[in-house]
Amino acid sequence: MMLSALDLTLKVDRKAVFPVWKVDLDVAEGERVAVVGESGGGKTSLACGLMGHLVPGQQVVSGGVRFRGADLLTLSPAERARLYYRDIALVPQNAQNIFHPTQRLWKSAREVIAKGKAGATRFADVIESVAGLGGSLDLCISLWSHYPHQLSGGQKQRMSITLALLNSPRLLLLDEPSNGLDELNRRTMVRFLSDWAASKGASLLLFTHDIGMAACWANRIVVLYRGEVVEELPAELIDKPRHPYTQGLMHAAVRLGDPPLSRRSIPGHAVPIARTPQGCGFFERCPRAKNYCRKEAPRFLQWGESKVRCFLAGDM
Amino acid sequence: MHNWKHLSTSFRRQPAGRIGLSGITVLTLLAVASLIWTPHAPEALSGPPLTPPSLGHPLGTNGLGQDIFSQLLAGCRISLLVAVAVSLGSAASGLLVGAAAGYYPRRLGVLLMRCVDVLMAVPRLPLIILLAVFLRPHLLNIVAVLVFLCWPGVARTIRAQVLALREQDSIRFVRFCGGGFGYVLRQHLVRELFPLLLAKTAVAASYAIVAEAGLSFLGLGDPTVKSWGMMIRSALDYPGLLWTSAWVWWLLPPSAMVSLAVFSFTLTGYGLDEALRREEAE
Repeated sequence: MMLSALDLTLKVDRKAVFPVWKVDLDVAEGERVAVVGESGGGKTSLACGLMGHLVPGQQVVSGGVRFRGADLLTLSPAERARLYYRDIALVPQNAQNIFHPTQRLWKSAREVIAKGKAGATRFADVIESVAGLGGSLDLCISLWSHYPHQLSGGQKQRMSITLALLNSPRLLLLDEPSNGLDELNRRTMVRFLSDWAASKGASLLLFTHDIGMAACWANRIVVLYRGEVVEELPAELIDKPRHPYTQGLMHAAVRLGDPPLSRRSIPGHAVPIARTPQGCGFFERCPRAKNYCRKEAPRFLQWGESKVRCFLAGDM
Repeated sequence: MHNWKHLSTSFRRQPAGRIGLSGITVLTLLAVASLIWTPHAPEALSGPPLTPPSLGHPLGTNGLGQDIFSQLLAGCRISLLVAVAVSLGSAASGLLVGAAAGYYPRRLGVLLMRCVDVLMAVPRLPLIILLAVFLRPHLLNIVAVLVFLCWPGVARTIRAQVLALREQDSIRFVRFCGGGFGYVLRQHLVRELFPLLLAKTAVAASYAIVAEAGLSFLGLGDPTVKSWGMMIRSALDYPGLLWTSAWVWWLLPPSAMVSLAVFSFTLTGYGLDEALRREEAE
């Protein structure tokens, strides 16, 4: 197992708010897992928590994260810093801004390469290692000698992905990697990253709100609702979700050919877990809620090939 | 974020910056020239005392018969040396302390900033006099005292900048990737802080020149080096100087040079500040 989180719960400092609630997540060697959910559902908190590098102002309440035998949550900051961008890489949500504004882009790449091995300090060395990766993402070599403000958001987004791949990490986490990318670039990126992961045997963990992209990219999809995993299903079964939240997400996704305003949304909005939940977390917004959903929390149970946290999963 | 091209053009567009910079250039040239050539050796008795200006002595001689023009050139060297040493010393220590305080704002930052507050609250002149009296009158000691007085202001400004910079996404990313304080400071912070540091340095330099002259004037300077302050003091020590016309060529030139140096450094600092502010406003 490459990465496994067990019972991970995160809490906001000095507040009884839990952005991530008892998440169990396993990522196998070479597997591609997508975590989907709406904004405020705890995706970024989970991504940072899985790295052991929490979002500022959050703390671990319980649980652990193991990466190839090492507990990421108890590693010293120095050891963790050695792992990052060498064995584990994260493309953060604001990836377009990670480049130093007054530094040419290839120098930023050089800083990342210098983590992996000493010696690659000249422009030619950096370009050589960058060219192969960037070329597959339609990035021209000459772009690397520009300053960040001279490039478009999409170019910077793709460059930040290149940066994450430079040291051939074993596990790559992507937090909303499709920011600022158009449909074609997104397609190129999805194909390139899948090929890259297959050739290196690396695992991918994708955090996105785009359920369509998740479905065509991942082997397995994990649906997160207010910090809690509500459904875990193989990507082929995304058309037949069992949890009402996943069904709602599928119904809300926009497809070509739809008449305007035809898609149904899920009423209400996700409120982060503020205390030990009494009943089902989705109760208030669930179209099929029964009376007992309010009283008792459903367990995370196997239904066919997927695992669902709902009493009514069997009725599908 | 700084754009060097914009910054330097906007600095050069202002008359203040231009005048200040040319003043500093002239002073530097004089100081360098004095290393190679002076009309007479500054300490040598080269003529009769209190000679009015002539071709042999462009600014006449002092009460001992030493050539004033030569002394003026040599004093330029000392004053600039003090200015540069103090500004570099205070900039370096201010940068280090300020950056550390801004980078670790929780405990270390609070601790360092309280020390800075205490140092800034102490009145400067009495402290200088006190320190100068108790330390041996040596140029190095004077520089040390002035650095000690100048760095807190620099540290405070730098800290405020670093506090803002460390929350930038790019800096946060470098820290996430494992860049420690030293690395981030060297690779990323210094280039952002440099223009600000330059402006602060110019202000510290002008202060250092005045303070050195003032200490020499009070008799607390280094008697072995002939700085402008020492010249002013020896002129004023001459009994009945103002009854003769010698003050015109003995007392006035060093005073004018001190004023000129302070004026140039202040204008440069002002020009840099203004250029930075304009860039920020854009």
